[in-house]
Amino acid sequence: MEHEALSLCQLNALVRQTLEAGMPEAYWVQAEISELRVNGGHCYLEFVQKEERRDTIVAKARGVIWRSLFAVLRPYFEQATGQSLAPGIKVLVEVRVSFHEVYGFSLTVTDIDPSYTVGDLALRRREILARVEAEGVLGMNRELPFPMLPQRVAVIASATSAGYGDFCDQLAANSRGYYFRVTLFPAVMQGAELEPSVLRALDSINAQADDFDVVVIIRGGGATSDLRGFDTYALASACAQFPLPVITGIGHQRDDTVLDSVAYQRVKTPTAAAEYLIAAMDRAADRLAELASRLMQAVPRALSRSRDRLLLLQGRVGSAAGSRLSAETLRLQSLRHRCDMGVAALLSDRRHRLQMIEQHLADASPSRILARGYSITLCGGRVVKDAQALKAGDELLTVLSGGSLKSAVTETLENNDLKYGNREE
Amino acid sequence: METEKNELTYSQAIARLQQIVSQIDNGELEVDQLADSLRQANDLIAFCKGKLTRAEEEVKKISPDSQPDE
Repeated sequence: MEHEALSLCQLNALVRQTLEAGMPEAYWVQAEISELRVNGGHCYLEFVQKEERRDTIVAKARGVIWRSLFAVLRPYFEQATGQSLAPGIKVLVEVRVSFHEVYGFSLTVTDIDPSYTVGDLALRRREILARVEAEGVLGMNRELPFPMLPQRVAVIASATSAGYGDFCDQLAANSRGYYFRVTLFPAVMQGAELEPSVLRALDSINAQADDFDVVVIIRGGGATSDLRGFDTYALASACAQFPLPVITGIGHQRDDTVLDSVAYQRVKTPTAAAEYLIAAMDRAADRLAELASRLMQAVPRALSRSRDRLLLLQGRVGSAAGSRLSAETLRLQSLRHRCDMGVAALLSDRRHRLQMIEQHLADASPSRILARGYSITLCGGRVVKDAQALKAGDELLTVLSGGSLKSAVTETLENNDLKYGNREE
Repeated sequence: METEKNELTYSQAIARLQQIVSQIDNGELEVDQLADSLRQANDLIAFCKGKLTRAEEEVKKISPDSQPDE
């Protein structure tokens, strides 16, 4: 039986024609890049689709980005995502389906939508962070006390990277001459080796954690490259629970990696990481200077306070004595005053009484009595007070206010007859 | 590997310094104690300044009594 046979070339040509006729347009396709190599400016890729939650590949296709387009797409993609095209990332690409008689089925990429990759990377980071948070360790590194002097620095970096050199130069050039001791723990800072090598470095540091104050993870700046290595659960978990504060300076412009999110502090570049440590030293130095200056002020102040207290006490002794003295003086004065007053009163009283007596005396003097008309009768030199003591014929001497006279008794009488009284008033 | 931690740490020194300064500031110190405290404070400041800038550990490494690890 004769078959009408086609040559393979004819068959493949038929496949090609059929495919090109049946799928003439370009299609937007979501896929993960599983392999990628650049050759002669062309980019050759392997796209895969994996089963949800498992790594089983359920679809696969080769692809290519021709040189002219790749030269434009690559910087555009890296600019937009902060991530280079690399195995493991998911992309949304516009492709034309093509078939080549020799090379077979392949997808020719005509455009790429970076926002899909950005979203996918962010989603992955969120998932990792959510897991770390669920384990309750997300904030652990951030909550560590930062050492006052972050001088013993464990650095995880690629030994040959420009970033490590920048970091060391910056530290060494600190203007106030702080001492830093930097120990390098070399690691591969991109690609598949990143995670295991950084984990190994962290383990080594952990084994001698007492010898270090702080860990710095840095990566040379410059060209954007594959940062997904920093977006792994194992790294995030190890970093979050690390006993020393971790500072990251991974040198990227866009979103923070998961490692940045769990680190004690993220900075943009290795140079900035060095600056961060120097700034911490500056704070310590400033605080010391402030304490020293407070001391310089406090001592004279304390001394002058003591002196003031002494002066005050001294003054109080004086013034206490003084006030006591003046009180005494006052009392004395008052006593003296009272005394003076008393004496004066006494004297005036006496003087008054004396005047009274004088008056009495004056009133009582015989001449005053005589002047009023009374007379004194004497007989034989004695005052006659009783007529019965006389007898007729006795010679009397009568003293008057003006002069005196002699007379003789003719008769003595019993009673005074006052009607002869000579009071005139 | 255990480093000898009997010596004063920087933060301990700062804390002590702070204490002395506040004591002096608050008049909690007798004049008798003032000189001693001041001397101590100056020692602490010198110690802290040394920590900031001097490579003490480097010196230790070079000194003959430094022992190899383990």
